Amino acid sequence: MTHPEEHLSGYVEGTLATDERAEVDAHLATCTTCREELELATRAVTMLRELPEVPVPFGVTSPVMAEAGKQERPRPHRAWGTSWGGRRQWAAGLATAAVLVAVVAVALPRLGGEAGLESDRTGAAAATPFGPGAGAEAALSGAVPLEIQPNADFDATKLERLADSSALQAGSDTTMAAPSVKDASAAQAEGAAACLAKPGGLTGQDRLVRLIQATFQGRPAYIGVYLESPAAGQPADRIVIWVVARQDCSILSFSSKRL
Amino acid sequence: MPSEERDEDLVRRAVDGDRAAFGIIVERHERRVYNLALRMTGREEDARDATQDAFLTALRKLASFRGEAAFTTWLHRVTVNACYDLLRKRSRAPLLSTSEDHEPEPPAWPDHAEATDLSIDVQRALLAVPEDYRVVMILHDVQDLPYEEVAAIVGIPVGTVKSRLHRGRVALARALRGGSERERPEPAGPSDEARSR
Repeated sequence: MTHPEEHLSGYVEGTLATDERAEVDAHLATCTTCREELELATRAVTMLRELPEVPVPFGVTSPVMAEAGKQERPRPHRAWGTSWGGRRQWAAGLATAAVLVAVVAVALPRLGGEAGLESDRTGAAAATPFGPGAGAEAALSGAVPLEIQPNADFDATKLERLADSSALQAGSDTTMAAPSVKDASAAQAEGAAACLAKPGGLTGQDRLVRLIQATFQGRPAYIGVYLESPAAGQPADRIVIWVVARQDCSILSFSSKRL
Repeated sequence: MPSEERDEDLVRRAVDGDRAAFGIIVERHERRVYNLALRMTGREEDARDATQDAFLTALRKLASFRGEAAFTTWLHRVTVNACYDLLRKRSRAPLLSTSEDHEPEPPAWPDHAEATDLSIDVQRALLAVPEDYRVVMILHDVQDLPYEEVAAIVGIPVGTVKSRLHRGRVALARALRGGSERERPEPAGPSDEARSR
C-alpha cells in the first residue's frame, strides 16, 4: 500500500487543501498504520509547540564579538557621521582628564563584596565627596555617574557578576543608585554614555543604570549596564551590558540576561 | 534591542568593517540560533559551542553572503551545519575519553522555572530521533518556520521536509512512550519506508 506520507504532516497541522484532505481521509479509512501514526504525530506536534524558548546564557556571544573586533578594518570617517572628528578629540581629552581628575563616581554599598569591581577612591575624590555638583543632583536625575575603576579588568565572568549585582539592585530599588558625586565627571559620564550609544544598538527602551570606565580584557573600555523593557512604558525584563573601546567606541562585548 | 535596519543592510555594513553592525546582527539572532543549537544538541555546553561556532563562521563567511537567500535562512543553515559538526565530534569523543565526561544528563537549563518535567522529557526524546528528522522538527514545529524555508535551510525538497517531519514526529512520540518500545522492531508503516538520509 502506498501511504500519503507527504500529506500526513499537513493533515496533522490542518493545512491541507480540501481535495488533499479528502484523499488522506479515504486512505485513513483503510489504513490502521497511518491512523496510529497520525495520532502519534499529533501528540508530538502539541508537545514540540509547547517547548519553551530558553534564554541565552550570559556571555555566549562575547567571544564572537571579541573576534569581530580583531577583524575590524579601519572604518571610513563618514561611517561615524559628522561628529567623528570632534569625538576623537573628545576621546583624547577624556583620556587625559581621566588621569588628572580621577573622579570617583558613586558608592555602591551593595556591591561592596564584589572582587575587582570596587570604585577607585582617590584622595582627591574622598576629599570632595559632596563637591559643587552634588547639590545639583535633582536637576541631574536620570544622569548616571561614571564609575572609574582603573584597576578593574573585566572579562565575561566579571561582566556576568556585574549583571547579577545590577539585576539585584534593579529588583530592590527601582530608582537605582542615585548619583552622589557629580562635578567634573558629569561631562565624562555624558561622553561615555554617548560612546556606548554610538554603535547604534541602543533604543529608547534601554535605560542606563551603571556606567563604568575600566578595561575589558586589557583594553580601555566603557561598560554600560542597561535595563531593557520590551516596549515603552513596560517594566524592564532584561539586563544588557555593552562594552565599547574607549579609543573608538567600537563594540568589544555585548551580553544580556533576563531579569 | 530592536533596530529597524534590515539584516541585509547590516550585513553590508559589517562586511565593510563596521563591527557595530555585526553586533546588532548577533544580538538580533542569538536567541534563535542558541535555541536551535540547544534543541539539536540537548546540552547547554554544546549549544554554547555551536552558537559561537555558528556566529564565528557567519563572521568569516559574511562576505560570501550574496543575498540570494534571506539572511535568516543563511544563518540558520550555518547554525545547522555547526550543530552537525559538533554532534559528529561528540559522537567520536567517547573513543578518546571516559564515559563519565559525557554525563550527566539531563542538561542544566539556565532557567529551571522554564524547564518543566515535560519539556525535559521532550528534549530527551528529541535526541533519540535521527538528526535529519530532528532538524526539520525543530525548525518547523518548535521554531515555526514554513516548509519552504526549512527546505532552503536544510537543502532538501519541500516534499522531503514534509515526510521527514512526519517520520520524526512519529519517532518522537514513540521515544516518549518509553524505552521498551524503542527497543522493539518498529511495525511496518509509512514512517519506516524509504528512510532516506
